[in-house]
Amino acid sequence: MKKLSKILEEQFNNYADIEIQDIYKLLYQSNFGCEHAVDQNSRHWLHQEYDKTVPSNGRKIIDIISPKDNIYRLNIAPYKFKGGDKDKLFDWFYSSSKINIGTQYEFRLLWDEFKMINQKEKYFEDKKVLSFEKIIRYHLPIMHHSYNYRQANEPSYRIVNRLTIDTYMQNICF
Amino acid sequence: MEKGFLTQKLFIPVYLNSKGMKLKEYQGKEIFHDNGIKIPDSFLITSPEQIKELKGEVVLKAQVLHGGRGKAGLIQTATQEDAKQKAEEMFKKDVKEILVEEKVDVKEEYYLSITIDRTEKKAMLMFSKEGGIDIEELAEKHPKKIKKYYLDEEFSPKKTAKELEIPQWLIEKLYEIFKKYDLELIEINPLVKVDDNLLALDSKIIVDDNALFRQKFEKDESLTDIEKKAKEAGLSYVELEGNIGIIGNGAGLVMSTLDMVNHYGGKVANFLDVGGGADKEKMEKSLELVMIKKPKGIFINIFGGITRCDDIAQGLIDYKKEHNIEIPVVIRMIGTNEEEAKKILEENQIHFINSMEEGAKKIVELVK
Repeated sequence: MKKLSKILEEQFNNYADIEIQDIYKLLYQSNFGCEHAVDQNSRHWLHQEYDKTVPSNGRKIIDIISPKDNIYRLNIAPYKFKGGDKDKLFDWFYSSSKINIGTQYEFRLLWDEFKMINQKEKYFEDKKVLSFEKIIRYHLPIMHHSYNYRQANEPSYRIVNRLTIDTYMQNICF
Repeated sequence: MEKGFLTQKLFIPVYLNSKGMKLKEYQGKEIFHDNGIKIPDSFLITSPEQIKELKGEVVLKAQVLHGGRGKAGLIQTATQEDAKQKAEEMFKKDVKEILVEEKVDVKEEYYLSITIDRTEKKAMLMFSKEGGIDIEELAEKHPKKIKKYYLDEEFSPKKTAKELEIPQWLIEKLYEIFKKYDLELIEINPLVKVDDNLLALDSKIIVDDNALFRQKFEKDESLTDIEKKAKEAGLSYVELEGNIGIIGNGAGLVMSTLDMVNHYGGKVANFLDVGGGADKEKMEKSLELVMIKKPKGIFINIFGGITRCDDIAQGLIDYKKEHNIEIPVVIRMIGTNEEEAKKILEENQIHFINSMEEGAKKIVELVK
């Protein structure tokens, strides 16, 4: 188990220009997993993204993003750098997308926890958090990373469920 | 076995997958009180100074929505001597309200709730003689200790009350509240016995998100006047501080639009999501709302699916003419009837842009 405060601290230490929608996205993924409508036909376009990503050892392969320790962001650049297999990655992603986790109610609790942490850490102004909260008060939309975050970090990852990769990743990640 | 009575059947209560609005404990208790369910004497404070003379020992209960209040020190017993100090400590933990409640001598604790069983698509009453516990944990470890009844045509409040040894009116009242307030969950945990009276010592209420438009709860209090007007019109609007009005469809797309305008140095005046299937009227209403803040320019970003781009374009033109709008308007639309929309806009000298990025850049230039 990893505390949300620790997860956020790591994110702010390792990534630049994090906006509030990036945190929302992180919490959303942390709670709901990848939640994509992935089918085998997605393999092609996901591979295209994979092929474009430049291998690099600049960051960790795995970012743990869930306090329950069951959801990871698997960063493609270091994965490629260490010789990861793209078909295997797709398979993990595909399998992960079939695992239903998290509820909207749980997401709201997670968001409340984030707000409490934010009060202490002052990652964002309260006003900003409240305005954003109004946007997500009735529905939880799928959001992209903020422009600034994308520019600064070039995020390229797959959301994977721990269950699907633990056995495979022992050698490559840790 | 009596019909409608379940013992160990697996169920998925709807609130576990809820996006509904959870009420704070005191709000739930107000509902209980208004509907004749007894609650302990209590009052709500927003600062420690509001604690005056106490009749006896009290419980200070932080009014926050997350669980684990006890472990976090957000529920504490207090006396006249230390109540203010303890309240002060709680307020330091980002607590805005504390319910100061008389401490009651509890004889017995029960669990009572009504929720919806998603799999059966029925309301379901749950009761346990072991109250004050985590019901999910109890359901997992000792499922037989929870009695469940579907509230269908075969349900008998009289028989159930007799079997559970609780008053029939309580069951009926709880169900009445459940329906009246469009709830996904109403839970009294614990329901306690004090001097032969039943008191609701805590409340957990989740209102169905789809019914919020007709249920009035605190949620509206944080809304500005424009936001309230938008809500009444079925539009999702958030007032911000800049001078560029934004209209789009889909929260994700609108958020990206805000982001892009900010990136090019613009300051957005609002977030407005017209939602799916927006038509000419919705577009006109959106413009009306956005114009209240007198923005220097408007950027409209629409992805046409069910929403027809030509409807949006026509709504814009009609509103612009009728209200003599002279500020710059940039519009980016793709999707259903895009070409027709483009034609309407070009005939009326409106900036039509193909990409969101270009649109954001353009509107920022125009308002400078």
